[in-house]
Amino acid sequence: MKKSRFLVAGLTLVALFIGMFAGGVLAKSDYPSRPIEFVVPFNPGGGSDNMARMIAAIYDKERILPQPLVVVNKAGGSGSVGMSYVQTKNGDPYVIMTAVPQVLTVPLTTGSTDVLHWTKLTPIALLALDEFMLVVRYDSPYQNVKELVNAAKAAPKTIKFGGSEVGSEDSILTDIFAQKAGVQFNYIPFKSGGEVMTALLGGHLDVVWANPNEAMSQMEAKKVRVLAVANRERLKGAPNIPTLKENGIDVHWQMLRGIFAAPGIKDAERKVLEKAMKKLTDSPTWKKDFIEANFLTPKYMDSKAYAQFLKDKEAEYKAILKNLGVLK
Amino acid sequence: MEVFHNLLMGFSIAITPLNLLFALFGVLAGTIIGALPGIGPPTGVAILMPLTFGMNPTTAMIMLAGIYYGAMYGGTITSVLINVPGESSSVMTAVEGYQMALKGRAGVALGIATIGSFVAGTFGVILLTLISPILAEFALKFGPPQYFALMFLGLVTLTSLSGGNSVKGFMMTLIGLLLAMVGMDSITGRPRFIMGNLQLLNGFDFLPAAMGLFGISEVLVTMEGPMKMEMQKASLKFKDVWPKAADWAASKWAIVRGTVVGFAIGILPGAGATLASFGSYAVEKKFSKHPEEFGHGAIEGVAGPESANNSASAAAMVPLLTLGIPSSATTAILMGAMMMYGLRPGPLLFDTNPDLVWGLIASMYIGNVILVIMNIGMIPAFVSVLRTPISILMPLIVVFTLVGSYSANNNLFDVWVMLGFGIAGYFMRKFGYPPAPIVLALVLGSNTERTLRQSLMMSRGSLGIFFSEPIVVTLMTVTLVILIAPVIGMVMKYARNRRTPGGAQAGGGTGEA
Repeated sequence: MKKSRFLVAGLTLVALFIGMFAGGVLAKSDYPSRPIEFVVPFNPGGGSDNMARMIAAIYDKERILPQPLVVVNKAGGSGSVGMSYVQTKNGDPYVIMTAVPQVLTVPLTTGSTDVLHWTKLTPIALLALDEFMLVVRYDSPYQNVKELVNAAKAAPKTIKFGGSEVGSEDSILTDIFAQKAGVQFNYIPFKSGGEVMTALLGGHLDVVWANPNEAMSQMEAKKVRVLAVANRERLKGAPNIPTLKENGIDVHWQMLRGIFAAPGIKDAERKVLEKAMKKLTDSPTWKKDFIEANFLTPKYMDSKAYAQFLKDKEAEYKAILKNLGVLK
Repeated sequence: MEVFHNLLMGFSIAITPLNLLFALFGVLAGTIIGALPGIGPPTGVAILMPLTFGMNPTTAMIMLAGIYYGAMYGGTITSVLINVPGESSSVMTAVEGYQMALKGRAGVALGIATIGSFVAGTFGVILLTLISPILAEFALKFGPPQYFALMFLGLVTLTSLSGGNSVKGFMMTLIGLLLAMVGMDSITGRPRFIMGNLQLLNGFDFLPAAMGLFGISEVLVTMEGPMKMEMQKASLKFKDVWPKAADWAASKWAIVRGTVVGFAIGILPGAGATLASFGSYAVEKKFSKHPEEFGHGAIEGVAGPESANNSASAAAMVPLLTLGIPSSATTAILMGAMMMYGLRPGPLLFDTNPDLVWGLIASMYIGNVILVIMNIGMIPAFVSVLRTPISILMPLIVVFTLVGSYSANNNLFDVWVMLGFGIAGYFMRKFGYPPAPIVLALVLGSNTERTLRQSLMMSRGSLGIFFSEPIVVTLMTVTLVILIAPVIGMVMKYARNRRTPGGAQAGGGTGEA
């Protein structure tokens, strides 16, 4: 009696498996016919994870694709674990991932471009650009960029500047800023944006880089002062904050937020994803709850333009990292 | 007082049937997630977050926060019953709680842990209600030098975790620190010791290490013995599994101390419930009149850490609600969720969304009451797991650790790491090397190293930064005293032994320093 029950259960399972595989093979023409795995190469809670979950929610709500996106975190090695996972899924259109600058910088800094590289993935679309803000405490002696630069000139390498690890965008940007302003800072690397902001508020750092979603609420509460934004134009959502360029320091730096798919997928499948991402960026919910709420710059690029953009960025990073001595 | 007015308003929101229902759902889901190895509170909250879209933000936050502190209760269960920590803040519970279970005192361990969790959780919420702005200011005083001093203190005190031989304990700590260096150097962003294996970029995660060192090695050691199909014939009657008066007497101060230590550590951004539970364990061992019992089922070693992780989870809400700064992975997700609901977590949240903040705080009082009732009621059921014959229980542990180590990062490599640590753990047990210091060093190692280097960068190379300000001076002094005292003791003992020829070799018995 018991045995037969196990047998039935086993057979049902086998049948289910066969069904799943057959479904996958037969339904290639009407892609997507099953849920798509949406890999976030970072832990839950970060900017990349927030974006992925927001996208999945909007896809679900507005039925952008007939099948849902299922967010899966594969954190590790500053994004390289998730990235190498997607790289192995050659020809599988059911795996996509979020892309941030680490996708470009980590293979360079770890000297592993031969095994880990964005060209081993399929660029789908660029969605938005994030901003960098130069932030001090509200009661800081530096009330504007000029005062900060003058202080740094008077005492080189003493102003404590916080950001993420050396070779990350924060540190690259600090070096460009210092170079163009003709000064030197004492750069202290931290693990996350949250830690940087905490150390600034606690008075352990003098000045930091922060993304608008980290800085704006602190600014409104008069805990911090945003000296400038590293953009050529003022932000629409925060028109009172001057740009670095207005202060005579021509630095323009934004952080890319885009989407990759597994390598070797069919053109038709790529187009489906491309179109879906375009639809997403046109959605009012996306515009209001993600772009506006986080003070991002909306910037859609299709697969081809995005690939070119990545190529240019990579060359730019390479030159800068060499200049910094991170790359030989 | 305004606080009570606000709190009453909060209760009026929290006790609406819908909010009560979701508080119940949240803490229930949290208990289950806490009990499942591999799926910790951050992952649990992230998985269940989509359910809350379209909900009223207050209701959603009540549910998500319920998952967080509910998991602190649930983490105890697998630690005690099968020596596999359900989540990271229950590692110390596995050390003592499982030993208690082997002696037929699983129910006592679970009962004490539940009550301790309730006391600590409620106390944490009371502090959160009354003085969170002041607490937040204190937390901000912790910069890199203060963190380094705290971690250093933790490493030094906890090395005596071994219970027996402190030299072996120090050896294990050092091995753990070496292992913690593998992976991306968080200061320079360059890989270290990865030997061309990109999987190692993230270093060794301590959860697979803990599962291997505790769970798998347990299975291997048990396999050597006779595999009898016999079950533990423990009574499941409530009054038999419930802690006795003597247990309460032994634990009451441990619960109080755990609550305070847990809250103090939990409030610091980046420290969190795991460090809080380790800290409390160390404190208990120091205060104990019978430190030799630690490692063999000391009830204080369960009561303290389990209280600590709960007050820490309440404390972690302080920087989130008052400053808009996430202090742990879980609160970072809670913050992301708030942003998705269109809220702006930050210093102004109390002013802009008082209904959400106070409703959430009030729901935490209610959630803790639900949890304590639910968990006490289920203790006999949990204990009955131990009636499973070893020949079934042991394979189950293997399944749990395999699934748990995979699901933490959805990464097969972690499974191999877990098995590797399991085999290492087997030999360590055979030769009397304690596993806990390795796990501890893996938890603290990279933060210790990073804060040390950050501090020295801030001071541009001067060690004076570690003696520059009251908090850091206090922590460093305590550490140095603890570090030097046993050395002096050893020297004196050595001198004594030389005077009396034939005396025992020096080195042993200094673990309680």
